[in-house]
Amino acid sequence: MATCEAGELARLRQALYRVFATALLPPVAERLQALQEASQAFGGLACFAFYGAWQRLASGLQAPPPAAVLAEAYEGLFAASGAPCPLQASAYLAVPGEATGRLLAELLHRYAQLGLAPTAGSSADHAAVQLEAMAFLCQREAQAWEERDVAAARQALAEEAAFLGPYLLSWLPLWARRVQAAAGEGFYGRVAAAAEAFVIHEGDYLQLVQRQGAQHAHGSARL
Amino acid sequence: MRTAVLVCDHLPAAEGLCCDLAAGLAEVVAQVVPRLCRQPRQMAAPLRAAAPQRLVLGLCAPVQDVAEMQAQARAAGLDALGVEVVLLEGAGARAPLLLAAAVARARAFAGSTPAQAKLYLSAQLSRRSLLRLSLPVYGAAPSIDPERCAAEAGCQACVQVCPQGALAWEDGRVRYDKARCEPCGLCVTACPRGAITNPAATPAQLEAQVRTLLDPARGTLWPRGLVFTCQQAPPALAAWHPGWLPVALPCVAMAPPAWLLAPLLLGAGAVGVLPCAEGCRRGQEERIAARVAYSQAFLQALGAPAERVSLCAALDRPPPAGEAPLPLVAPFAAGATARVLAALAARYGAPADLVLEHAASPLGVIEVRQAACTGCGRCALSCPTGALVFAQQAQGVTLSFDATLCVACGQCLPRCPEAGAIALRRRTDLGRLAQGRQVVYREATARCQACGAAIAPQAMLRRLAALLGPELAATAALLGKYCPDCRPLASPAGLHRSGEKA
Repeated sequence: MATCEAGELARLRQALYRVFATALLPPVAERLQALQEASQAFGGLACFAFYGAWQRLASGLQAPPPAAVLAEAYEGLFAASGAPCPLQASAYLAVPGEATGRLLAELLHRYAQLGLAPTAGSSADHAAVQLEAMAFLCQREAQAWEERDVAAARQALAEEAAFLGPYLLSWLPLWARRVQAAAGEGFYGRVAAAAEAFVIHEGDYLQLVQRQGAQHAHGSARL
Repeated sequence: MRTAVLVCDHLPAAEGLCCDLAAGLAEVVAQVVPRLCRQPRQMAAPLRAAAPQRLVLGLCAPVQDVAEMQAQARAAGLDALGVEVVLLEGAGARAPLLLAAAVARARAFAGSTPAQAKLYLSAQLSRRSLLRLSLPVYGAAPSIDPERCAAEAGCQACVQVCPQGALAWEDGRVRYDKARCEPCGLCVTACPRGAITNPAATPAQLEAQVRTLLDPARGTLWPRGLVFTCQQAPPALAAWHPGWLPVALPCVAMAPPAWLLAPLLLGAGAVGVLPCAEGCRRGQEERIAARVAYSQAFLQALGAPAERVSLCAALDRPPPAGEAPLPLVAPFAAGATARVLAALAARYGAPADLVLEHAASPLGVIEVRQAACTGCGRCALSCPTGALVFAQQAQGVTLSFDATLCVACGQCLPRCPEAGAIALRRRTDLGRLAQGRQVVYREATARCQACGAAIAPQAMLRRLAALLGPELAATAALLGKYCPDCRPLASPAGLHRSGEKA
């Protein structure tokens, strides 16, 4: 049976998080170019359940709509006042207002713990910022595996799970369904479907690896 | 729907099987593939050429590298959870029928969502690479449609049957722990509203498969019997009489009595249930035995041979002859039980007032004790199927009951605040089924003496008076005379001024 190394997988996951983060920033020509190149660079993704959604996105990136058209769609879906699918997590909270402040403070604290800070003008709860944070955590995990530091790798995996669950999984699928309802099979509908499939897969992966890690801690031969 | 059928070349007469299949089914591309069971990579070229929308694999042995098989399917643009794998070793003359049924089943696959893929991964520490992960394998996991789920009304039917504790009810929502779930399908068939779906084991897929297996126009192999088996325990078909046809379920414990009985209406001579040989890995032996026992008892009550449904049927002997299929709509769908049982009763000319009391009855009858019920309606609010309906009318309140909708889930019982006011009889009552909705409780409503507005059912006020006791009789009387709006006007000084304790 084929296998892969955990470090390689962490690098792949890091790259995918960065791709989705890029796709959810305002579409300028160089970002689209980078996305197009990235979509062709990934091989071997067919072994993952999210491949179908990824493949639809990648095929859409072969000949993406002009940046101006995408910019208009981006504005209408995500950015304009009253847009149906804002990219900020706080828009999906059951109780906005007070809870928004708490969420932003929590996120900023988390980022600060990691030595990160959102770039000026970026909201801490923006999908792209959260995806970048996950990419950063995956990078740390990959580095730990490469340095053969099991404890640090485990710690990174735990941090990934602790970030993904409450801060991305809690709202991104809801956002994705709204986008797909509004944008259908258009470019952003495909981005949303692929991001949803990837993030849900990440939740399953991290839960499983964590659980196996716990078994290992109790004397099993597995991680 | 363009469907590719790839057959392993190790199977006897694989070539002829493919020719027959492609000739007999529209939009089927059938092809023999060398070493398919051992080398799923061999699928790549035929899939590229056929560009199918659905895929069926006819194999001589279980796929050795499931991850690779699924990856090949995905690379061909297919949903890997919709790939039908049929083990044909020992199938003999049944092989064409089993493949045709798999094609029907594959075509009934409605797709899956990201949340319905369950990841299986093994991770092992090694000295060389520190951590190596197997390539992922995915199984189909159930998902809950929040729009249809009745958890908000208190329903916990799925939670109560889950053998792994993967479902939990919290604050009106069912929480699902996919990592803990070992998909068995029990929750799928326990849900009174059909709100839980396993994308690879839907009623529509089962119906398509069973109808094909029992299609009188297909094949000459008669009589036919169906055997429900567990997906994880492939049957040794060579030891079976060719008249027995396997239908694999995630776990046979998920099959409710209606699933065991419906095939008899579709042309099967008998239905067998074959749990895992080493015992049910989910500990559901009792449930399986009880459902078979109910099916047998029902058949017996109808005057039909009870052994038409059996646990571990005598599979080395031919099944009995079936009867002509009836036009039955969606017999495996949630809520079809009453229709299936009524159709069977009609077929065997059962007495209209037949009653079968049985602990595993899939239908129930709610009895309301007029003397204890206060007409609060909480039971109806919690009824997930709408079998109990509470209505407030000008003259009073009514509680009505439709036996065709009651699936004996018992969700109403713990919601009733009065001891002994309602009871669930696990009973199949043909008379009640024929009656449809009936009023089972009626109570007049007390009206405000000042404005005429409804206050509460008289029985509730009597219960309240009994709880308050003689010491607070005046309060109870006031509550029964005036609505909340008029009470302060009727007693401007307030209740506390009357010398009573609040």
